[in-house]
Amino acid sequence: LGDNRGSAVTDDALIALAQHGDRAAYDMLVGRYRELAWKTALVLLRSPEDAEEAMQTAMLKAWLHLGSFRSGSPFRPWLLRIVGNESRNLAMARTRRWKRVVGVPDDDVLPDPSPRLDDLLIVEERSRALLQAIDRLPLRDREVLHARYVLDLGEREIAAVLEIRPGTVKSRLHRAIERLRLQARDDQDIWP
Amino acid sequence: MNLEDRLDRLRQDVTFPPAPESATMRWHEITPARSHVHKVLAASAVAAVILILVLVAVPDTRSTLARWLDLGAIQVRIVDRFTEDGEETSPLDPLVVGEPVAVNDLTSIMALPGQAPDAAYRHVFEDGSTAITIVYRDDEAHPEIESSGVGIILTVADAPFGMMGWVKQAESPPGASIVTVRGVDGVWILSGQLVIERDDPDGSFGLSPTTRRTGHVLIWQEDGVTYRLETRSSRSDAIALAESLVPFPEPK
Repeated sequence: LGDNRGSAVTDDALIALAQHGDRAAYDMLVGRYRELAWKTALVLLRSPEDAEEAMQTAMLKAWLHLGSFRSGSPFRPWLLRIVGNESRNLAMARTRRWKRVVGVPDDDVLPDPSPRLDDLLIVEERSRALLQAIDRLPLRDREVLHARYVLDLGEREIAAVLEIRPGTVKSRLHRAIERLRLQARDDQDIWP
Repeated sequence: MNLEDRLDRLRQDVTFPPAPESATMRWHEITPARSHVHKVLAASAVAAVILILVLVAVPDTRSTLARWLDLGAIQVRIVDRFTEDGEETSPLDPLVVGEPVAVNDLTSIMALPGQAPDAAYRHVFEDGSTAITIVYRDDEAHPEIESSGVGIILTVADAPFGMMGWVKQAESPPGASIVTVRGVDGVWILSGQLVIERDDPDGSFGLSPTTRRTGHVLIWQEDGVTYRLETRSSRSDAIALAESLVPFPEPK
């Protein structure tokens, strides 16, 4: 393909080349999903530095495991699964490490010190209260809502990122929206 | 507008910061692994670090996260709000960094390779231990810290905690995070506050009038020596800076 490789080249072709060790093909392949991978890691970790680290590790692992990638499968959910997995690993390691250093038992629950999502993103004023309301929900609820409505992922991709069964995505989304609706009723003064 | 419609509109209403250039495949990481000896040395360095962890009772006004730890000569304290008492001082206040010394007089410190510091300061404590501070002017790669004309401040101290009386305060959130730097545990603090505490005659610490909002700070300890690197750069850039430090003057 030489220097003529462009967007007309399919993922499958790039994967085949990358599986044979073509680094340029792999760079092009992951480059197509770099922004989405970055957004996913940022939403899950809420730290640009950690998101960057998770992305770098995910890309490295994807390269190392590319040999086991099933030909003909979509690459995007496969990569997103690795990004989601690395982000969760990093988040857990960060919490464990922090507890160890400050001398808190592993099973202690500490307040989440992460910045709010609306502090990390540029948010139109009309949607700020909604994003903040989602942030106040339990982790499970807000993860699935962020994946669906902020990252705009499909069910299969949400399942990959959150490592849940595709059938669970719908029910979890439904429950999360109901909790959000209840919260909206309670917060009518700030969220008409 | 109902909730579902508002949720559907959300994706149009948020803008993410662009992915950093460095968030890409790092091919150099799949080059041949480091030697066994190197790995053993790195593991030994990790094992050599001792973090003294002490939990204290905190005033009600602080959050449950308000805890502190001593990292070598510096105490890192997580607080709800920065200390409001005290006078804001400059990054190179003599009370903090000591007296200026000639860069050429420096021995046995760490510095950026091939780049002599622009200024140096020495603070000698009552027990004879020393803190050396070297500074580099700001440039394109190293943004200015708090209108000081300085891009990097590196303090190297062999003093035990209590002698320096330096307290690094981090607000939570975002607070501080534990990082690996030069093979040991360190602490990365986003835009914190430095408080200088004086040793009162009765042995307790009292707040001195000296406080300062700081850039981002990376603190770690190697072989009993405490390092404090202050910069406006990102965490990964600060760690890269720390990793690149070499003995100064650079061996010829």
